[in-house]
Amino acid sequence: MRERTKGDASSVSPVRLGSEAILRELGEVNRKLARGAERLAELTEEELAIATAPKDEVYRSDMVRLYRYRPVVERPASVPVLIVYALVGRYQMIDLEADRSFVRKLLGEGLDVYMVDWGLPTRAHRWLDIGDYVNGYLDDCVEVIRARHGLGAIDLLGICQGGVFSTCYAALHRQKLRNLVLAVTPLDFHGDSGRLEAGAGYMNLWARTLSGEDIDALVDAFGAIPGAMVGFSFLMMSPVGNLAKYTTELVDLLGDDRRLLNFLRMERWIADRPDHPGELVRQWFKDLYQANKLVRSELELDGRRVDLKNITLPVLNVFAEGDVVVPTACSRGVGDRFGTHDYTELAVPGGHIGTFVGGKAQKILAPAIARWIRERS
Amino acid sequence: MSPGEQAASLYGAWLNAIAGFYRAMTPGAPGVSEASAAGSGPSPEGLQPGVRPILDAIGVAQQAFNQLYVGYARLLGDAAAGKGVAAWLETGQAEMQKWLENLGELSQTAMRPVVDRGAGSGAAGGATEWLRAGVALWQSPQLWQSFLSAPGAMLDPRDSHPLVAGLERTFTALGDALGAAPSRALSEAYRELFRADADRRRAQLEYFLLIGRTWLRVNERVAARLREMGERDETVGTLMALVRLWTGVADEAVHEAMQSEEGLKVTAAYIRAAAQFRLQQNRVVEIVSQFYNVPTRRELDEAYREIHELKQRLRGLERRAGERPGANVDGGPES
Repeated sequence: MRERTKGDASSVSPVRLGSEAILRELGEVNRKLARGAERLAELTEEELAIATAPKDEVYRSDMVRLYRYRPVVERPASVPVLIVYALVGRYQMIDLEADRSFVRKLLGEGLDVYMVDWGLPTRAHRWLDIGDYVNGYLDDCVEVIRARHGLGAIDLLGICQGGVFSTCYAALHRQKLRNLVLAVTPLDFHGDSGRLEAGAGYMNLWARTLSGEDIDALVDAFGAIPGAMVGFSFLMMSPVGNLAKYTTELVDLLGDDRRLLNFLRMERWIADRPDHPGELVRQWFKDLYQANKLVRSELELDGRRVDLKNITLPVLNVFAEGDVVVPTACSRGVGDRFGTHDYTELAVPGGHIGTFVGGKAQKILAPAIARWIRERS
Repeated sequence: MSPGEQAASLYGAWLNAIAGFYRAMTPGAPGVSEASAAGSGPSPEGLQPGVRPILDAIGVAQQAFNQLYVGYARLLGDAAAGKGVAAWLETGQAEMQKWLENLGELSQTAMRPVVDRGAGSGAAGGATEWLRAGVALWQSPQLWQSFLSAPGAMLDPRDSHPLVAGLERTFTALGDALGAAPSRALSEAYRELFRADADRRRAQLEYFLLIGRTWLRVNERVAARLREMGERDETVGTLMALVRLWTGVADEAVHEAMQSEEGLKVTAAYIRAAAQFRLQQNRVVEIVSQFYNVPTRRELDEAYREIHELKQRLRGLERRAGERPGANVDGGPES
């Protein structure tokens, strides 16, 4: 069927849909959905488990846990690397599935990997700010690793918000670190100003639109910002895309068991959003999103200025080419802000999360980081 | 709220949004059941954690697609009479325009009680008129009645008879004097809560208006995209392909709208109003808690703050004493 559009006699609609074909297609879609529902009911915990790389808890403080992943090579690197993930999601992202695990790749490269799990903050933790995380929990973890290995300095690998914590840590505790790796980390929070990328950086934009009083009201009203609220703000970054995800995309992947399991494991991670300590949110929004103090070396934690010029150790800054959460303009091109002469940038394909779980990025990211560290050992 | 409850609430809201989205895309659709979208049905036994919401999503998708396919099949039946996808798009534009006008008018009406605040009990545009006007305006009351039936609007003293206002003042004063209840404070807190609720609903309306206006652009762009494809002799051979084209176009348009100055403004206003509403809720709870001698949130927060500061001081003292955090779970050194 070809139909002429009203008002433009020369144009012809490309829609070729016949009633019979439509109903046949509907039958097919319904069969797929029914089969998918049956498959979901059969799934076992073993099939859906995430973060399965073997690890041991070596330290705990409040809700924070420090884990050491069991090395997979006989003689792992003598200097361990501590991975610092964000607070907005759980650490499981770095070990989502056995065949899409950033951690397993690092272990396979011969690194000795530790990871800090920030746990699930509650209302009791509403007063924690960035200083508490950087100078408190993170410093404790670094101290534990230094003591366990009898080392003066270790390597730090910060991801996203964890990258900001790691940057602050490197500026304030330079002597305890040997190398700093940052991945998908917002450093220049205003880097996207005037360089708006379609569909990217929505979080930056609306965070800058709020007034200081709005942020105070939000934090005072909730104490700890609910994880569901944080999750919703991520959904709103691509509302229609996220609607399609649970319908058209779901239909597509229901017939493919491998893709379905990937999807479900990712959903399990997405649904597990921790609450966010209120004071940290206040500081994050006002000092970083709004005042952009980190890259200007104006941020103060516990009365000490975070001067990026103090970061004289080697820095590897990894950014994702398709990152819409942290626009690349907020991550890259900040080498001159650090005190180091050994600054490297690495672009990897994929988005903010795809960097760690995407097929292409998986082949590049861990080997590149391991190589960069080895070259500085 | 536990992480599980948080996830359930997030999925519930989102699946309901999906139902609405597909309803808007379907010609003459009866509508997807929101109750099933919210995942309120019985949970099949033996499901692994996190699977239930996806099963709900399948249910929503099934309903959405059924109505969508049937709607288009009917539409094609009409094609012989000179209608079709393009004609439906035009009809959809007109209906959406009408919807927006109604919603805009509703938003203006809803604004009136606040504009008239302080104008006395005889002020025009009171809660009753607001309710009546709103119900008359909106053709699908299920969704929008929630905006209009704010209990606070009806209890708002701006709309009450002077006698009622006088009685209220007298008895709250008496209640306070006899120590029966924190009547005045509670009454005032409730009023502020209702005002905050009305503000929040208005902010929500403004937000939906923006989405509605964006949807108009989506229809226009889908029509334009189809024309371009036709000119290039490209085809859309399945309804799923048409849906994908539609969602792709909608995604672009929504991104533009949300990143626009107006989009950011209404989003900020909504966040602001939601936070103020929550603060007023907290205030009511605090007054009641104090009356019943239950620790208030503010008191608990202060206790948490003190514990937090003591921990910070302890950490500082330990650092100064040269103590390192111990390997308090597994002390085995690796060196």
